[in-house]
Amino acid sequence: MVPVLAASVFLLLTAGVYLVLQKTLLRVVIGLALVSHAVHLILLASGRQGVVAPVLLPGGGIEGVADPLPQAFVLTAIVIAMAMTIYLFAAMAALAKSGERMEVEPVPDSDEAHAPEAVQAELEGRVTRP
Amino acid sequence: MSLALFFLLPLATGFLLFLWQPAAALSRRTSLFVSIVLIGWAFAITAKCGDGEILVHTFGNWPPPFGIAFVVDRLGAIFITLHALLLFVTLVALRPETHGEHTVRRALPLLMVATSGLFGAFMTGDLFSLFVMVELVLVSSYLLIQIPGAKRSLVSAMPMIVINMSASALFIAGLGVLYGICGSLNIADVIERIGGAPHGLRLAALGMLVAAFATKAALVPLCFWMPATYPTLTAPVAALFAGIMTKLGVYALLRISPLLGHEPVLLSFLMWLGAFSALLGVLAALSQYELRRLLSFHSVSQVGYIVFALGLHTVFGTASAIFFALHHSLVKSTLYLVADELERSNSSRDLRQMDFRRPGSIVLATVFGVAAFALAGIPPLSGFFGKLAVFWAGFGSREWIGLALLVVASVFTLASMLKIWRFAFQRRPVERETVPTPISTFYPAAVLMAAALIVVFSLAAGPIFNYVFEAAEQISGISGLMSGDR
Repeated sequence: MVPVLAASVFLLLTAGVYLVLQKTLLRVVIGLALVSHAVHLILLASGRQGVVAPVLLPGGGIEGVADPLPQAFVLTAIVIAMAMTIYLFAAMAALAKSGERMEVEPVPDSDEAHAPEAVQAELEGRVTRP
Repeated sequence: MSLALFFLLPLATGFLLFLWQPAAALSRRTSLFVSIVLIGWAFAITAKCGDGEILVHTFGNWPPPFGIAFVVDRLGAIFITLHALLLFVTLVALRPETHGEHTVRRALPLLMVATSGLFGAFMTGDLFSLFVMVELVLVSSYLLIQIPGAKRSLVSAMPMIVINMSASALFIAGLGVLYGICGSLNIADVIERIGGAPHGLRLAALGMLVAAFATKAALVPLCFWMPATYPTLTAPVAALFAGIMTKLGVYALLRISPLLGHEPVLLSFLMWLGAFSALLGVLAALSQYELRRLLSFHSVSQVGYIVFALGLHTVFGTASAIFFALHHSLVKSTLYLVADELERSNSSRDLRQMDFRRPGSIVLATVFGVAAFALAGIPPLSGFFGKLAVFWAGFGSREWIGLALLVVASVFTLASMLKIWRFAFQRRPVERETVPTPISTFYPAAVLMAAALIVVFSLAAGPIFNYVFEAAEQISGISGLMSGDR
């Protein structure tokens, strides 16, 4: 079981890292989701018994039983990762609404060129949202 | 008072404010009240921990290695108090009149949730719940970044989110391997068991954790999310973040420092990372013209000092790291609050467009002077004691090259403060096409409070250092692996 897990971690991680390094925002988000799947598998593998072993067997013996704690960890981590992915989609939606291209852009350098009124509005929280 | 309430009170307040959506002024008053209660609590537990007591709260009465426990020792108590104080100052500074009704209403629930996450992180005795708490803080910070709503804040939020999510992935992977070799993630338990673990896996696990925490602490090659985002954050929130968010990474490093004793490679790596961050951070800061970006590159440099001292792995080094972290939080928050006033009165974030024009600027200039001197390490102020302690620790460990880097960085720190002074406080008003909106009243309350905190901290440097030293002994005492103090 461990080689299969290791191979899937490898695949997910390479695909994820490749996608995170892309310029399109959607690919970055999917890449992050893949990376988090990969690390969840690592966390799952720390339970030692492989991914198919149950946490409880009839009769209550501890032989061949998986450690339940990593599974609980992974559940928590999956929920967090899902929430983050949803948040990223929401952030992308906000960018799309404000008419931005859905790409990773260099951070604007300084607002030297911006009008003082606009900056002032921004600093005082008076920006009208799209 | 149960420790769980420390976590639950701000969380409940956050959700209440979110669901109730009261007017900004009422929401602010509620949060201020809660933060005063939190300050009282924080001082109470700091006093309790000062006697060497370790407060424990086990959830569901499961004994520690099995259940989740909140454990507060001196280190945790110090950081809890620091955050409670900074939160109060931030809430005083964040007013609907100056930062907008909408901003305040949106920011307050998130600040409360972030507070509960930070308290949880400072209290937890378990690495996995540390991860959960850190995520709680990060989610609220992602949302806080987007509050200003301008194009730039949406765009500049992306690098922070992507980099921090990658760091979180490393964090989980490190935890997975650590659990695999130790069979537990309770910090005290891991410290006991890690000695017998195989070398390679141990190095991999701790290496991933160190990389994750170094990203959250914003050390040099991993720091660029911070200068990208902090200039666009709502300013008082940025003050809180600059004070405490990078310290979350430092705190996590302090917590796992007894583990790192098993892998000296990682310790010397951290030390060098710290020394180079100190130098490169301040050089980057010196080249900036945008005020808050300059200050955030500065944080990179100052966190470098902290991590250098931590990497020495002596009790004195750890103590000076904690002391420096406290000093830097207070000073950097003050500077951000001053920056907020400067930006709004000049209608620009750029130093080149600032001038000395506003009535009441004398107060602001004095506060800036105090904070800048403290940061540069001019004697009666806290920065002097902090740097003295860090340098002393470096002398004790004979790290001459690292020390030389820190001394050079220290000179440039003064230079970069002089740069802000020259642009923002020394220039006569320049002619402009548009006159910026005058700000009717000047409430320096938050700024003065922050400056008062610096002065009190400087005056009480002796007792505080003793407390911090005992905290360092306490965390290293668990392992008994750190070399003796010199």
